[in-house]
Amino acid sequence: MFPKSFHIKPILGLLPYIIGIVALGLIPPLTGSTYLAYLVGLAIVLAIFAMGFNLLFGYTGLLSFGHAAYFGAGCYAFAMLMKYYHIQSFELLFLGSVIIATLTAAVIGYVCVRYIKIYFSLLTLAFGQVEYALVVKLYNITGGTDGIRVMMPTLLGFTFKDKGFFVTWPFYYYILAIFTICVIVLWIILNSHFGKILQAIRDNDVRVNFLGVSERRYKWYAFILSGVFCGVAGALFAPLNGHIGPEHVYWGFSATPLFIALIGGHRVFLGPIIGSFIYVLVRHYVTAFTIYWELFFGAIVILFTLLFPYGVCGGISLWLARRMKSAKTSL
Amino acid sequence: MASSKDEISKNILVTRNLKKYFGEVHAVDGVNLSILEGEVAFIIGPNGAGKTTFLNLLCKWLEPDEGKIFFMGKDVTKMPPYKLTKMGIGRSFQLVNLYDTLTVFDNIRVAVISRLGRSGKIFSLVDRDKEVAKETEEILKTFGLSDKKDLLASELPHGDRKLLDVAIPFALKPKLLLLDEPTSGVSTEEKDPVMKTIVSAVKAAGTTALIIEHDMSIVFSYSDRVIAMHEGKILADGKPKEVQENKLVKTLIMGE
Amino acid sequence: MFEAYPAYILNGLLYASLLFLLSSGLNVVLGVLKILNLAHGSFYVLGAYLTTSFVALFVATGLPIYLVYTQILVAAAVAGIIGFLFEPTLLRPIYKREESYQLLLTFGILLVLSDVTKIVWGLGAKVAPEPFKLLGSFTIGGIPFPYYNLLVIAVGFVVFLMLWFFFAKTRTGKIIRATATNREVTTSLGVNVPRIFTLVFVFGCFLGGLAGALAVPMQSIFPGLAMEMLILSFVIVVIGGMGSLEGAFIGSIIVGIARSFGIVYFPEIELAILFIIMIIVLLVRPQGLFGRRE
Repeated sequence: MFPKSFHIKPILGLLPYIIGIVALGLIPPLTGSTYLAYLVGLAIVLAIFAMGFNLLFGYTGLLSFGHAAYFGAGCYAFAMLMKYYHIQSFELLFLGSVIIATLTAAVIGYVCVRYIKIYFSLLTLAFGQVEYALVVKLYNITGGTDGIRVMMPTLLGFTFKDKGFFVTWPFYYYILAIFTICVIVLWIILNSHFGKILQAIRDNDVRVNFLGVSERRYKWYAFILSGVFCGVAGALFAPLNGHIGPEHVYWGFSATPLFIALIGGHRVFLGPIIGSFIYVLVRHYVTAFTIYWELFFGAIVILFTLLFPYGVCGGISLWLARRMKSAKTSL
Repeated sequence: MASSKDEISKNILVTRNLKKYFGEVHAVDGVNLSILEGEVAFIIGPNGAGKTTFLNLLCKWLEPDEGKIFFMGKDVTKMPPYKLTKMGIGRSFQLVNLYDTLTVFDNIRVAVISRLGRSGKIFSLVDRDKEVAKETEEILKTFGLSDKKDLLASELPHGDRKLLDVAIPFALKPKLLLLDEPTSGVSTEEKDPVMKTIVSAVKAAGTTALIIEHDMSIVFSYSDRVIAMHEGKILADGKPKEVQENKLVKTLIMGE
Repeated sequence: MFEAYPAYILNGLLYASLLFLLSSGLNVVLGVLKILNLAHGSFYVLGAYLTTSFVALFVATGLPIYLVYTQILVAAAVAGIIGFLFEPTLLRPIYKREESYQLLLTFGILLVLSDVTKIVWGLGAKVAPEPFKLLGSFTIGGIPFPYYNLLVIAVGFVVFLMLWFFFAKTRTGKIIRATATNREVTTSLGVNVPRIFTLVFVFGCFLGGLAGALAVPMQSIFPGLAMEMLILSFVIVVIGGMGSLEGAFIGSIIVGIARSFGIVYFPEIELAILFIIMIIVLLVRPQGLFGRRE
């Protein structure tokens, strides 16, 4: 029913990205809605999270069920650095969060990449739950199930009046800027020599050893890089959301980048980004109707796994490829 | 049959009493072999003779239970496969084993990237790397796959998949190439051209090669040296004609 | 102090029995279908919730109260039937696909079942210790120990013997083992492999449900339990070896006893001890106690 896969070569080039970034940038002045900015900001942050996740899943072939561990490490690092060390500078907090998230990924990843497929996935899940248990147990410093409130720190030294729960404009643009940098960096990494090796690992990890590349070590590198992006996302999420808690380390939250990558398309660069916007949109509407959103998303996961494994972007790519008759084209 | 230090330095590959057991079965049972640089030797033998297991031991896919392996004068018995590959051993697989969602071009390109030591380059766009592209094109040409370079590996016909399976380790420009039944599953008309492409490429590059092959006519037309294996041991080892005439080989392998 | 030891051992065996039943369900599906059912913990939870409901219904009917224990089997059977809903429809299409998709699909089932239990039984935790106290308890080493717990230990042991006998001696069992080793060969021998897969999957869900049902008097049930149980059963699978019945049995006993003694001396260690044993096993003997190295 589906071709085994398809090769991605951009046909529209940079255009969709430029249009996208500009469009996102126009949201505050055009709509004037801080709530919308919050939603879009959330979608952007989750996109970064999903891109980090997909570096491992779509490009290296490693399916992790515990990625909230690194996102959460970033969040908690941010919140705790702010709370206990009274650091107000977003830049310093950001740096600290990313470092801690990356270290967490480095340690857990070191153990997990030694195991294949099923074992790998379950180990990532187990570690994620261990981190969750730690967060809840050490309630004296982590705030336990209550979590920690996060105030808006200074951005580049400036303080902006926090309009209560919703994000301020300057922070929105800050997020957008960081997102743009992430997209560029990730795109370069995935299209680099290293990126090609990762894809080879995805397709045939054992054989890569017979190319002269230590598949285990490269998987670890990929894991660490993934951790960096998760840390970035976590560091942006903490002040955006105003509050972080153990739910952000729970396996349910680890499922989020998974949905996003699956729905958006895990074999297409734009996939996690589009997927994230779809996810935020759908989740927003579904939770307006019912609290049983897990049922809905579970059904979507089943549906997509069975019928649309390449996701929305993947499907569009295939359709475009058929229409243009050249074998490989895409977004 | 004792190997000496001299032998280890003169030969590109030396195995000493190599053994591998699977439970009670002695898959490889004390193999002593020396291969000179530049030789193109064929390994023949019935199914279960231990040929593939032997190859798997040589490239360290499997760990030997006993014995030693010397490559280019070094004891590599304990070396992990990726390091040994970097030293200069390449292998192809009996059951075709490609990077299926990558293009033919990329299948070879990753080998070239590794060979040039560029696997770790993160901030360089691989599509811009002219040197990698050039080498990849050359290998494609050698194996006659140039016009199929944009197809996905999974889309190739079987014969081309076998060629690609050999082209990948070949792209590493190894000192020793281990090929496991490179023409198996290929149609009879295609077998000869496929082997011809492989052997001429190998000889042109001066690569040493150990090739497992079942088709006797192919073996005897292309080999300088034939090694016959049976039940984990080497039965006969020498020029094709000698081995062909060998009594044991005749009864146990040719079934006469 | 030493008088308490027999009680600790019994407690360990109790926990081991539940672990064994739980992990065997996962293991048998893993061994034969080669699928790791991420939703396995959900069947444990379903078995538990169903038991609370059936027990409540049973009590209302006024039938002889000692028969209430049958509800455990009923609940487990229903869990198996629910598994039957998923296998031919959702799992069968993906047997031939890449492993990631199999994990994703069972994950989707996990999410669906997670909310289904919330819809049917609500969000709060449930407890139902009552009818089970009927059997009374005895004291050992000065510590009271319910007869019911002995029953659970017995069930675990009996199931182990039955499974062992089934796979080793009966014709169907041998066919199933052959299917596990080589699908294509058994198909060509005329065996209806899809039907066997369905049977095994349903049985795996039944075992998971049975464990949950038996555990009802001893723990409070809440939706998030599914994930904990999945990880627990996976740990036993790792320790004992993938697909190995004896491994699951011995592994459960080791973990059960270790935990039982562990929490006496280091109460905080409860969760950690599992992971510690698992990590030791992964480091020292990655294929598990009885597993086969691929």
